[in-house]
Amino acid sequence: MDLLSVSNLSVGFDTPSGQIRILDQISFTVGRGQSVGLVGESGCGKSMTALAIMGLLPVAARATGTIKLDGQDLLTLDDTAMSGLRGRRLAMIFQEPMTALNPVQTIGHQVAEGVRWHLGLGRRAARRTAAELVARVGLPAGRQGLGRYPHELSGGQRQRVVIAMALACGPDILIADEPTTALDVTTQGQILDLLVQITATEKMGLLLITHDLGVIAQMTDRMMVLYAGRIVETGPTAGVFNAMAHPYTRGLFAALPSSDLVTSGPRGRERLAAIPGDVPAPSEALQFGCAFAPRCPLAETRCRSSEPPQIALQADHSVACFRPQGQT
Amino acid sequence: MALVLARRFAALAVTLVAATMIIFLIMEILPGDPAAIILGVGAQPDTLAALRAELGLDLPVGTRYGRWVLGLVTGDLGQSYTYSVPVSELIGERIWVSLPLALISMVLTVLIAIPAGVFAASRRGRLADTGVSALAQIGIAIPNFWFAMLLILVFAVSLGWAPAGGFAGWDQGPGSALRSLALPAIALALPQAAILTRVTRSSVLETLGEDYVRTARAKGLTLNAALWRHAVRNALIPVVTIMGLQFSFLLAGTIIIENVFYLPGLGRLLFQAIAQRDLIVVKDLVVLLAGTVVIVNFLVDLAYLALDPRLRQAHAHAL
Ligand SMILES: Nc1ncnc2c1ncn2[C@@H]1O[C@H](COP(=O)(O)OP(=O)(O)O)[C@@H](O)[C@H]1O
Ligand code: SF4
Ligand SMILES: [Mg+2]
Repeated sequence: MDLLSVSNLSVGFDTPSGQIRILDQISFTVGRGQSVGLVGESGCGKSMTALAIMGLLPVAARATGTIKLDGQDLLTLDDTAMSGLRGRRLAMIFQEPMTALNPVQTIGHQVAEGVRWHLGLGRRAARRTAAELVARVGLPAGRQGLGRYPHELSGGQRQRVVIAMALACGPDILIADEPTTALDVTTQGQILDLLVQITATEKMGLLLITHDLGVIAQMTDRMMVLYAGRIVETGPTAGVFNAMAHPYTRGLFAALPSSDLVTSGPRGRERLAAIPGDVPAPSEALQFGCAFAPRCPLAETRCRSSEPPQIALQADHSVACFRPQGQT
Repeated sequence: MALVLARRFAALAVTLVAATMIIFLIMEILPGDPAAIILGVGAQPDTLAALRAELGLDLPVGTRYGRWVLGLVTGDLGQSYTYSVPVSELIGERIWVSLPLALISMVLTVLIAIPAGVFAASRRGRLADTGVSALAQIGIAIPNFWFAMLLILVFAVSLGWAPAGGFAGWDQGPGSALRSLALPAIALALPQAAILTRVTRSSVLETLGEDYVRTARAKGLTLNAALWRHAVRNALIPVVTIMGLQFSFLLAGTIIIENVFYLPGLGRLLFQAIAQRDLIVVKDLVVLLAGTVVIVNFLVDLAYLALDPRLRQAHAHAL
């Protein structure tokens, strides 16, 4: 049984003008020690996927489907039961290290809070644990280090603190929602290395969310491409990079700076210009047909009238498109 | 930190000196010769001149200001024209009515407003929130003297739980003194509590939407724990600002409330001193009130430093 198994997850918002769908029938699994990437442009529903798993969706959101952790459906749990799992079995790292930490509490206090809360450790023991955690993410862990406030830290250091907090209770699943987007390039690399090292030694399942295909290539075993709330292509990362089938995946790849991924490009890749247009607003998308049609260079009449089929390519690699590319 | 504190102290001193200068100047400009007021119309010019010399009114402005400030510092506040007793004596008796009254009102305000505001924020949009907000709206709309009369009718006249007015004095033991102050303190506090409730509610709602509250939830804290441990403390910064302003309102409110309840406090003294043109009393009282406001603002600044570590840095700018 997979550690985390999401099936047919849909998320909608109740708005005055009716329900809008943000996620549509998402399914995937994350195994122990596995690293799964979720990639897509901003606004396509990546954070909502993460928050749905954490049980932290905005109050106006409604989630349907199942999200099973070790066979237990999280969507049926109440908030108290979910609170018992959050931080202990499910942990999350957020995009904005500048705002994710409480500005008026020391980092030692904030890192220790999780273990005090879940494991009932006393102040002393929690502080020792906090010192270990802070040292593990590569920050000074002495009295001085733990006594610092978030404003005294750089963005990369703050993100390390957020990672230390997420690791505190040894979670089974770590969700990292664009953990490096807000950081400069060198720091990005360091934080990604840290995540790799930690998830490998801890045998955690990692759900890595990013808009950067380069990060996906570097970090993940499996990947999913999300567009307007639907998974349009999924498969083993190496397999997908070898034969990108969805025009959107190819567009994302083409939009990468050319210095990235020179070795792992798709065979015989023809460069598309960066994808024109924008992700449709949820209220406009997901009506009929393929949501990507308005931006797709290959769109045909049928793309606009009926939903593209899910086509299994090879070895777990599948795509939702009428005209999957690179297939002979 | 030390540098930050030194800077705040310097600002406090400068503000206090400026306050005394402004008050002194205003009193200089105001028409009315104290000697003429004391002696009444039709006084002989030479008697007037003698009294003016005795009161030191013929000295140069600078000297008089210097003497007055020196007096303030040493506790010699001069002689009341109408009561013919030292002003320090007048104030010394009455401050033990007004200061406890203002402090009790402030404590009541905080004890009502912070729990009510946090509670309403945690129930946003639900019945409890609507209820608290409606009560706060009523509290803001109704002036404190009206509350005072309502409280007198209900608790003094009908129920007889507290006196309708007058002050028993502290020498009768704190019980009866506190009973005399209970209704005035509540009347003063209710409108301020209503305002502070709304400030607290909106401030907590704002911090509840902050990322670090979501981080706390992601750690496993329940909504209530995240609320009290993470949202409330951050929400207190604007709340403390308003509290500082409210203390000044409470001091000003004592002028009305002490008259409604016949309390022998500074507010009533100020009221009478103005009516009788007892200028030296007015001047001293105003400087006392202004000084209190300045010191309260200083305490508010210290509270900011305690609440927000970012401000403890010497380079920190405004919030
Ligand atoms: N409270 C909300 N009400 C309605 N729509 C929302 C709300 N929050 C987010 N959305 C919409 O959900 C969509 C997905 O958002 P999100 O998951 O944050 O995207 P991503 O993380 O991929 O950038 C966006 O189009 C956004 O407009
Ligand atoms: S289904 Fe049609 S419009 Fe959609 S991506 Fe494939 S080719 Fe393009
Ligand atoms: Mg996002």
